[in-house]
Amino acid sequence: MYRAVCVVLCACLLLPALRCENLLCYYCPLQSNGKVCRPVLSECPPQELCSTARGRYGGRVVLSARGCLSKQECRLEHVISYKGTNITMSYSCCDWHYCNSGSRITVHSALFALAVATTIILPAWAR
Amino acid sequence: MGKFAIWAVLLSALVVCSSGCFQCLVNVDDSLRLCWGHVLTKYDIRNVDSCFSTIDRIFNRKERVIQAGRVGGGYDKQLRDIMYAEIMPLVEEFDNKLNADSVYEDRLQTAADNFVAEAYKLPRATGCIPPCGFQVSGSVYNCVTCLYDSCEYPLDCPTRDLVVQENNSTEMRCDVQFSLPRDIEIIWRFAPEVRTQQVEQFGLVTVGEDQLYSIPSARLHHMGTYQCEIFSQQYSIIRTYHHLTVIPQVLVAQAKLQGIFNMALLPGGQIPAQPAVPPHDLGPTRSSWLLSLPSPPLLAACLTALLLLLFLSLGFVIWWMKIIRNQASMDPVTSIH
Repeated sequence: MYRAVCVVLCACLLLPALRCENLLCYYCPLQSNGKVCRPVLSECPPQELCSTARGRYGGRVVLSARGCLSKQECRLEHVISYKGTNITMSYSCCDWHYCNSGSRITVHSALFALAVATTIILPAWAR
Repeated sequence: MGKFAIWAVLLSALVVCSSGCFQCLVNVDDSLRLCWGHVLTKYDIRNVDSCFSTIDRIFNRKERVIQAGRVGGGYDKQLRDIMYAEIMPLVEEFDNKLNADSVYEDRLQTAADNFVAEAYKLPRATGCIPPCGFQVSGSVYNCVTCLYDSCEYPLDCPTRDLVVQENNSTEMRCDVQFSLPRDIEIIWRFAPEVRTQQVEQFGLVTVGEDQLYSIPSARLHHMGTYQCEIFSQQYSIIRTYHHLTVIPQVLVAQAKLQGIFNMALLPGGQIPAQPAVPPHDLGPTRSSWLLSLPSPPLLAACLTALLLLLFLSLGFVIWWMKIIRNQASMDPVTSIH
């Protein structure tokens, strides 16, 4: 019984796509890479993921943005005009809450550790 | 391939270009505050992304707004003030409150219309004056690049030529056709002997505010190129060049002497006290000397007269000697003694 609850909890934490509610992602408009945004959360429409965008100019990352993006767009690379300069944009997407906070790996690891801890500790505590 | 092309087209329509008057003039924090409570009514979610898309559609991708933003040099601050006057009331009103996307749409559209109307009242650029120099008054603000479009003239002006005789005075002016800013610094540099615009060949002469460079008595070592560079707030605005040629005194004196000689050769000529313009080279003087010769018939007549006079005098000498000889033969005593 508890094991089942834990599995569901894990699934909820790691795969929000399975749930009915929409993803909550950080939003920051397209701007020079390295500039910090005040943290603003945005709720994505269904079928959209949290994304981190990087704009490259001659191999160097010059722009960055965060927000929601459709699954199809996540895979694509394209060229945009930013202040008169052509920038190649590429995206990386993730599908759990706040996953595009910037320190993507740490958040992911923290969530993963929490999930693992819950899975192990909860059944032990329940017995 | 075809599928990819369709996606690419779709994407290009979706892509946020993010270049426009709003993005240039409003800082990110204010726009985030404005968009915080944007509710996407279709899904009933608070979605900031779509608010920025709306801003982009209303302000940034509209040619009308970009045209309104094309103000003259130095007026971007006023343009910013106009934008803030329209946006800040909305930011305050929407701060930490949820509002439907339709509300945002209407209010932002009104703000954009007001911005366009007000921005058109700002002075436009006066135009660029060729051929050189960085002209602030001629530049136009561009809401796509968030920068001023310059006149795109080179900093270096074409070289002007100056000729001066040795020991005479000369002066050069660092004149520009367009209006200069108030706080300017002028640097004069000199490249001896050569005619050049190569920066490394110049050596520093003076730094200050003087637009006039004066040489009271030109010497041969003053020959070369003079560069005047004008700075405004550490930025170079324009570089003008004067190439100075000094004619040596020897040549000047020779030319003067030639002039006086010519005057003396003229029929009935008088040497004026000060010849107006002494000739510089020998070519024209030689031809004027030829021109001052009398006509050939007159010359022939003169020569004939001279020869006639010579023969007549010779005849007279022979005749006179004959008489002397006759007198001697008639008086033998005198001849013996």
